[in-house]
This record gives sequence, structure tokens and C-alpha cells, in this order.
Amino acid sequence: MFGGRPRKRALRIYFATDIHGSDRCFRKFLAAAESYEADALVLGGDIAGKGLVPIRSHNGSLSARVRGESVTVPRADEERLRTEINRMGFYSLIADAREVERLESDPQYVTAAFELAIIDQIQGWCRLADERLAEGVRCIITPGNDDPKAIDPVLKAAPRIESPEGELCELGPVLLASCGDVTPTPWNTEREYPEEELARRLEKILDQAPAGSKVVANFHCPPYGSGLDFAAELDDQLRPVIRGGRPSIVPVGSKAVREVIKKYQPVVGLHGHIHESRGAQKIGAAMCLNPGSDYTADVLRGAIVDFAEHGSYIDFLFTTG
Amino acid sequence: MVLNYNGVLYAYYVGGELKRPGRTYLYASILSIGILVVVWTGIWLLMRNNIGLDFMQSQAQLGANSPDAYGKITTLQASAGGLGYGLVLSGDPFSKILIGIAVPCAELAVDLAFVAVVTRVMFALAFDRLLPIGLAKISERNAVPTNAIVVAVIGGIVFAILAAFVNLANIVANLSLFVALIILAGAVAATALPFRRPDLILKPGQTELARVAGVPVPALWGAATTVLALIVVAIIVTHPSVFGSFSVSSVGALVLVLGAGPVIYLIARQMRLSRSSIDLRLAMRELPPE
Repeated sequence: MFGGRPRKRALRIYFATDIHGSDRCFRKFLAAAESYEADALVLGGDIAGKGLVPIRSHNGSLSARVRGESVTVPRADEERLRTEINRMGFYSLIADAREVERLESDPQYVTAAFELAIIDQIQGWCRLADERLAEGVRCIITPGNDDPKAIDPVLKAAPRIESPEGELCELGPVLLASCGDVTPTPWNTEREYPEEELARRLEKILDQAPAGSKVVANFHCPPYGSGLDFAAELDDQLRPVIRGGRPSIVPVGSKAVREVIKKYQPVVGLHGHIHESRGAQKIGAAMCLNPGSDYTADVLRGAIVDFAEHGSYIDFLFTTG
Repeated sequence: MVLNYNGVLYAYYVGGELKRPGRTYLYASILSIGILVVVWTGIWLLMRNNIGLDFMQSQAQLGANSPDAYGKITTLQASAGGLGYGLVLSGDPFSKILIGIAVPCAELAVDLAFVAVVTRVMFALAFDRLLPIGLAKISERNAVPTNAIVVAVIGGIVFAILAAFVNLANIVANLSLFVALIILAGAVAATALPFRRPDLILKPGQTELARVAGVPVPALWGAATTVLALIVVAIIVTHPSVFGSFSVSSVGALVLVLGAGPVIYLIARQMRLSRSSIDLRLAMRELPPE
């Protein structure tokens, strides 16, 4: 029982996903390289926050409306208020009455300000990665459906970050295939495609892999009905469907992702998108993982995945850091 | 009801084996509670008439106080003793038929509930890699964790064979104390949580927890629950004739179950280290954000 010989690892990946603008989770993500002795960090999409919260400044106090609740704090508590707003996956913007009014009435202005806040944060994160990451540790960040396409050039331009979205990327003994596209969601985000189109996009990436190579599929969308894709069913008004006093839970993953994994059999599938559906499931020989996300609690959920010299998968472990 | 209270029924959702869990759960609950009330009340009235309340209470008392003596006079388990005696002693065939149907039905319902719980707990542990990943495999055909069910059924058969040779009443005599200790542990954790991780219970937009005399309100609720749980533990310990007597085997079983967690963790960690390159202790290592 205890007498086996552990297989020697050639590569350790630390994978996390869906941190939605949480500064604290990103700092933890960078710290994971040292804590878990990872050779490569992979952040699998949905790194941008979910919205912009204007903070109204008046008479030495700050007021904001966060998820339906009004909060007023003294100006001295600005940092704490902004941190709390960020914890929930939102950006904050201090504004006077006129600007708040414009933010509430001009959707285009809100979109531009929101995108600016996202880019500003990601540029800051890229600088942080540059400062904190040890030499030799690779840091791969790919976008997800909640990330505007405007962040792609920012990530690609960062010297310490790699962002091989829609490409194959050599990662030690394995090839990393990355795609942040998903099937249509109720929120109409930027990277949504019907199943057929998504299948084509995924196959286009995987077809480039030489025969016999070991591929790790970093696909943001989880495979349909795999246990990694269970989420609350929503009605037309985006409210959870309640049956028998409880939210109805349904699979919301992609059939295209499932079929592609069945067909190409990557050694490991790294997925996210559905925060509450943390789990592991084998599809054929492919070990598919969704570490889930709990960024609102400042907790970084992730998975350590080890590979042997020739790229074969050794083992994984879910982490809560 | 206990399973519902503990949230165990959420485990059914994971495999998606109930297509419409909300509706099915509601109907099943109402139906089973209705049947339970009718059957058990009817049988209790019949038994009270045929056997008498004194006899029913004395057999239950004997089962709780002296499992050895109880085991010598019958092979029926103490928990099933009332109905078992009812089946043996009731005079009219109508009562015999009713009791004869009720006993296996109730046992089957309890067994099915516990098989469901055990298999889903195994499934969840396998998901987190504390058990072999094969136990988390969901059948594509019927969406149930097949491997976990097979292991649970084999374990159940072994346990049933064991029960035929050993008087289990001795071992499980302190079940009430076990439940009370679990509640006590939860209450202590609830008292400490607002001090250790207030962020986990803050509402959106809040920056501080409400306090009374400088103490967070959730901690006060936790402290009140702790006091009540301590009272319950004290009552259970001082009334063995009601809640189950103490013996070496019952206390030993209690210690074994309560201490099993860390021991299983250490064994799992060593087993994993012997064949894998990942140390299990990394799973809960807190990452420094700064």
C-alpha cells in the first residue's frame, strides 16, 4: 500500500480560473508558484471584473450602491470601501454628482469607463507579475467569455505574461491548447458561439498538434454533462428557477467541448466558467478538471497538475489557498 | 427529515440522476411523511392495545441500559424491538400483517437513504481526491456514481454479516452523544468564525459585523448554541438510562469515529506520496497575497 515508487515529475502546472478582477486572488495566484513549487502558472479566463460601481463623493463622505445595498463611509475609509467592492468582482470609480448621473444614463460612457478600468487593472497585474515571479516560472493567462477582447493585446504585450489564445503553446513536455470561447450564455458576452462554430474553432487549434504529442486542453467552457458544468437554471429575467423551494440545477457546459475531448483525447482538460461546479471527471482517458472559483471570499481555488517526462499525466490535486 | 436538515439530499443533484430534483423531492417528502404518520400511528395504537405501553417501554429501556442482557433474550435489534415484539406477540392477523409490512418497508427506506448518503459522500471525497478518482465516475447511461454504489453495497453486505454475529447495540449505544458532540463542535466553530474570518459572513457593502458590547453578533449566537449544546451533552452523559449506557466498546467506538478523520488523512497522505508526486498537505495551504 505504501511501498510504491512515485513517478518523477517533469512539469507542474498550477491552474486557476474565474478570479473576476479580484486583486487579492491575483496576488495569491502569483504566490502559488513558490507555495506549490509550480513550473508554470495558468490562469484560464474570466479575469476581468463584472462591472463598475460609481462612488459618489460629497461633504467628506463616500457613498456607493453595491448589489442593491447603499453604503456610506467617511472619506478616510476609501481604501477599505474600494477593496470591498473589488472583492465582489467590481471596479470602483470616485465621481462627482454630474459624472455619476452620466454613468447612470449613458451606457456607452459606462462601457468605455468599464473597459478602461479593466485594462488599467490588467496592466497593473502584468507589472506585478514582472516584479514577483521568479525567473524560470512561466505565467500563462488566457481570456474567458467575460473578458472583453480589448484585453488580448494588453496580455500579449506584457513581457512576463504569455497569452496563447486560440493557439498551441509548448509547455515543457506538453502542448497547451487554449480557447476562452463558450456556448451562448444569458449574458451575451463577447466570446460566445453556437456549438457547431465552437467545435470548428476548437478543432482548428487541436488539428495543429503533431501526431503523438501530449496536449493539455485549456478550454474555458467545461464539457456538457460532465459534473463540471452544473449551475442554477435561470428564467427569462435571469432569476434562478426555484422548484420545491430550491434552485433547479442543470448542466450548462458545451457538447462541442465534450465531443472534441472525446475525439482528440488530450491528457488533461482544464476548465472553468461554472464557479460552483468544482470537480474532476474522466472523459475517455482525458482527466478533465474544473477547480471552481470562490473569489468573493478572497479564496483562490486551483489545481496542481503534474506531468512526467514524456508528457503523460501523473496526478492532480485541488487546492484552496 | 434529519437527512433533509443536514443538506444531504443536495448530494443527489451532483450526478444529475434526478431530472427534476425540486419537484421529485417535494412529492417524495410529502408522500413518505404522510405514509409514515398513518402507518406508524396505526401500528402504535394497535400495539398499545395488544401488547401494552409498559411492555414496549420496558423493552426499549432494557435495550438502552443493558444491551448485553437484551442481546441474550432476543436477536432483534433494540431499535426494531418494539415492532419486532409487536409482530411476535400481537394476537390478531390484521395487526401481524400491518406490522409485517411496516417493518421491512421502514428498514428498506432507511437503508436506501443511508446507501444514498454513503455513496454520495464517497463520490464527494473522490472528487476532492481523498479517495480514488474511480469512485467519482458517473455512469453516462443512468447518471449515478456506479463504482461508489458497488463499494457501498459490498460494505453493507459485510456489515450485515458482521451484525449477525456481533451485538451492535453495545457499539452504537452512545449515538445521541455523538450527534450532540458534532453539534457542539459546530457551535464552537460558529463562535470563533466572526473573529477568524469575518469576511466570510459580511453582507455585500458591509465593512464590519454588527456588535453587541464589542462582540460580533454571529459570535454571540455561536456562544449561545455552544452553551445549549453543552447542556445537552451534560444531560446525555448524566442520563445513561435514557440515552444509552457507557461501556468500553461504546466509548471506544465513539473515540474511533471522532478521531478517524486525522488518521484517515495521514494514511491517505502517505498512500498518495508513495505513488504520486503531489503531497496532499498542499491542498489546504494558505497562499500569501502579499
